[in-house]
Amino acid sequence: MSRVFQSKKKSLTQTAQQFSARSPAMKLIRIDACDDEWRALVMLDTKTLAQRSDGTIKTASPIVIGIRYHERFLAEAPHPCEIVTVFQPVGVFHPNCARSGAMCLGHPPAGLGLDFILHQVWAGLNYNMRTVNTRPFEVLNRDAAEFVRNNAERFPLSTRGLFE
Amino acid sequence: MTAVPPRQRLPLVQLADMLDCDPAPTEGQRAALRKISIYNVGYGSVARPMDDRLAEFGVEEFTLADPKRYRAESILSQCESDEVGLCKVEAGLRRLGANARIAAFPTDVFELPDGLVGENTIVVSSVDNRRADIGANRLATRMRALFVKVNIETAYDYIAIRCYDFRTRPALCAECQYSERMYSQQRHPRSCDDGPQRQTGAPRWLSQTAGDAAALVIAQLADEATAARWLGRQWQLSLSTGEAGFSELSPSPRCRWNHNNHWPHLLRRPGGPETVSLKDLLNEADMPGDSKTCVQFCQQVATAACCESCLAHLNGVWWLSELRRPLGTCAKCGGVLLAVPYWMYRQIHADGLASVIDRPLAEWGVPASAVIALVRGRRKRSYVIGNNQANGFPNTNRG
Repeated sequence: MSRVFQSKKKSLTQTAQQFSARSPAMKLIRIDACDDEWRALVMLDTKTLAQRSDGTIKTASPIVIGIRYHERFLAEAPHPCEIVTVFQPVGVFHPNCARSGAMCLGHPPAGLGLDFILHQVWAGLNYNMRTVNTRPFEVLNRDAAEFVRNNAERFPLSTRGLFE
Repeated sequence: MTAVPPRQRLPLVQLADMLDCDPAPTEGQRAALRKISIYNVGYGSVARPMDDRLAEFGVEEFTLADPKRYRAESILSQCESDEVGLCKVEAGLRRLGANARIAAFPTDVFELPDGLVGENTIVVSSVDNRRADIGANRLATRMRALFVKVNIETAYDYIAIRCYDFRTRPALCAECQYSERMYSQQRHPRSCDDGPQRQTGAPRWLSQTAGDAAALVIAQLADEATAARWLGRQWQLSLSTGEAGFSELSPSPRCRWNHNNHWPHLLRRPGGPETVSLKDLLNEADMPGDSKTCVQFCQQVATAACCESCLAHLNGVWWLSELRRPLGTCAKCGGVLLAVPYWMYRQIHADGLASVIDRPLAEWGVPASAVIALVRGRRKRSYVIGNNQANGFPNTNRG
């Protein structure tokens, strides 16, 4: 493991703790830092949409996400869906989330910061329409994209920022 | 004063003069070329004429990796009208397949196992995106191969060829010349919107000249007797002025890539992933499968999957060459199983792989040419599964 990643892991942990302390809506559940990876479980006190097993679409809260940061992200642009996983609510119903929980962050650059990830996730799961992509054939959940386009007046679910 | 060459594909003789070498490879070089394999990262407007020329020179084995297809605009820069819509590597297989062994992969270089780089392979990068350049550089370093990077700059009618030697402790890599800005400009080709395909629009004559020049350089590199003067150096040609010359490439202490990051004690196993299990590898390395033994992979493995239909979570071990590729079907409802990104690993302790330790590697998705390393304290062993044969992949005429 490189020294650069060692210091990156420290900075990721510091940023996560600072966000958790500063934000009334975010709680850091745990951090795991092994050789080549840094992982964190984070709870967000806000609502998003989830589809139940009977097909109904409801708002659900809180949200639990997992963030995974690999050493190679420092220099290689990561796959947009390999950084964030939405664990709760199960069956998250979002145009940019796969049913497995994988969330697409658009085009994340190499060496992206944790602040970028957290703000992007917050805005996305709150359906801030500046970050949600609903264009057909460009989404991970087409039903969710159609639902969002047809119910545009319902969004965003919250206008709060992560630090408000 | 140097004469400005016309804006057309330069004759090989004129190009060889500029490169200070023979236009036709010597017997020694031809013999060396027959023994090497070319791994093309990007099979575009430069790689295509380069490979045609190398096949003429005697190269008999090519690996082509490029996810793109020819579009109507490609007729201007690189393909024929009847090839529009075809995968670039598919066209390569057709062009070169009659006289050479080809493995053609319509994928990103990051989605291919490292072991496709054989012992006598020269990795050649001629791509128009920074990320693939980085991937090619790192692949060549990990596999301790020779690396050639070909650039063209359309605005200045400029060609540059850089050669790197990663076979022994390299002080220099292609990323040594990279700035922060070059890293931040990268984009992953797979997003929700799959991103726009960049169009280089390089004129065909410039790409063909670059391809010919690269082929001549590779002919020199293949032969130990003529290789030395190219390694660690850049050859550049400005076709606007007709000036050609060499420059030394200098290593950077701030390079983001660890140049010594390679697969340690690499051994190529003859059997494919159907015939070997992780336990066989552990036995061969004389390491127990406990928490003190670390297993490293050239790609990622997932230890949890989720059914897209019934949302059931399953634990197991699945090899992942691409994140969005289905891992299998759900036993409960028959739905598609997808990897859960949080539970993906590049290295994992051997006891975490207990559920698959006795099973053939192919059963949990390990492809031919995958590289698996075992590390226990200071002891390290790496294995290429399948002896660099591209068997198990489509689009190959290799045995």
